[in-house]
Amino acid sequence: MTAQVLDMVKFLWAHSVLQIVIVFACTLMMVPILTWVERKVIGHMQVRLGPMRVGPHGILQGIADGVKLLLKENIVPSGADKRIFVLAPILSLVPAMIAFSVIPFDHWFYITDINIAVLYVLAISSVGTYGIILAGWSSNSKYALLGALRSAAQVISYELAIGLSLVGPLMMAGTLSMVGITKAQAEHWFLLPQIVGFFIYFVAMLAETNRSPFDLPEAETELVAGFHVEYSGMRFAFFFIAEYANMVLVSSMATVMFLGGWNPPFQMFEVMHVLQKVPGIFWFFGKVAFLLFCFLWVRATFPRFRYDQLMRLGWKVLIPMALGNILVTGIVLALLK
Amino acid sequence: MSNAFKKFIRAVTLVDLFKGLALTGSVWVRSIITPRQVLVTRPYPEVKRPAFPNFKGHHGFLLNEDGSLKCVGCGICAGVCPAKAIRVYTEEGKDHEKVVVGYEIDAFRCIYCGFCQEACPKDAIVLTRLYELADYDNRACYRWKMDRLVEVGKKRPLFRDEVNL
Ligand code: SF4
Ligand code: SF4
Repeated sequence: MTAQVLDMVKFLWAHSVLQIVIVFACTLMMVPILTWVERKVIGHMQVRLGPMRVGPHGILQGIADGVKLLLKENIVPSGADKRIFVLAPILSLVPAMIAFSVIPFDHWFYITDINIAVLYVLAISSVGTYGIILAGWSSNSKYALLGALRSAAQVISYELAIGLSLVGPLMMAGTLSMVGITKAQAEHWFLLPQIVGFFIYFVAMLAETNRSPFDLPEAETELVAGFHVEYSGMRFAFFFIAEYANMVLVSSMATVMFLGGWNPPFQMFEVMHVLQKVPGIFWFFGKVAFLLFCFLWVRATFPRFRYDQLMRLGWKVLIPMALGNILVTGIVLALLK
Repeated sequence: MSNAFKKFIRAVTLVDLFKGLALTGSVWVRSIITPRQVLVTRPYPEVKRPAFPNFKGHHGFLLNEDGSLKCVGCGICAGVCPAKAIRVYTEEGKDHEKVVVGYEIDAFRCIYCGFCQEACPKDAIVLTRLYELADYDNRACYRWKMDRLVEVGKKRPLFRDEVNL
């Protein structure tokens, strides 16, 4: 009996079913935890307490919010384009989730390893923008439409910066497979040689996930809530989960591309090899957690950009910097050969 | 170094951004180590802010030691009240004495001047430091009847303890 169960588990593992279930569940579980952490951390940074009521120190707040959203009515505005209105939240959540399929969490734990993984993630995360645009369009509301237009412009500008900033690590690793890139960083992370690329990626990833200080698509003070202003209940929750899943996704990408994925730090020194005793998955999640903390840290610190500042930063600063970074990386690599 | 050059250096090294991050970061670290000193929020219903000593809030009705009302129904408080917020209802008792049967304060009219408390010859009506005026019954929130006033007078720290007496 136990042997059969073991066989079953082995079979599921070999066909990636178990991995998919685990990754899917973990991503969804992250959302209530992340929202709680976000409110707590930002509260503390602003010398407030943050959530305190639900559970000890408000730790169950995320679950309470989830239950509330589940029980709320799904309102469809009378002027809305119903089919697109229903489709939009799905279109924004699904790409965020399926992009996790190529992220290697450890050398034994990833769903799949395809040789164009980086391109795949970039392509899939662009599809997520359609969810936002369709949501803004179908809501038949000026705030939602303005938010969606801003989002479209922002994502197009910063997608370029993200793509170009990732070219540096790709040139150094010589592969587009995420597992390959991580393995290429076994000794030296790409963080130091690609520090400019990392900086560009970090700024662009804040903009890509519509997070503060680039949260123009949902700027509360100007647009009420931006593209999801007409959504309620579970459909709103979809956008919410998508935003947090995207945060985890871009943090995972940064971890793989710049911070060495599952590799422990300082592996160029012989003494630091003891760090390999810690399972790689902890290193991976530690780095992701740090990057997620940076999201909150930045949000608690900086005010929102104005729209023209956002565009100027993207086109006039980040993209030229990224191009220069590629040039320098190429020259150095050619000289070292 | 010229000013423009300094400005350029500041812009390129992002010094100001990192200063901002250092500030929020240090507050966060301190809030983890010593939350009580850093975080200023009072969790309100559990930790109540004490009212200032001169604060005049909800009225209270005081009782004698034997539990009878101090109020004799003279109506001076109602007369002196600039907002005409007080109603005193009296009846003739068995031995032809005056019996107070009802007392009502309209909290919407009251301006919390404290004249009623000053004028009362029996020290029967006082203003307490109670500032939580909400109630489940909306009428009870602004029409303070006798029972409510007596309850409040029993339990609340009084205003005149520190100021007048
Ligand atoms: S506090 Fe002033 S306004 Fe209020 S009932 Fe007493 S005398 Fe009237
Ligand atoms: S509260 Fe004082 S002033 Fe008012 S009726 Fe009673 S005894 Fe007279």
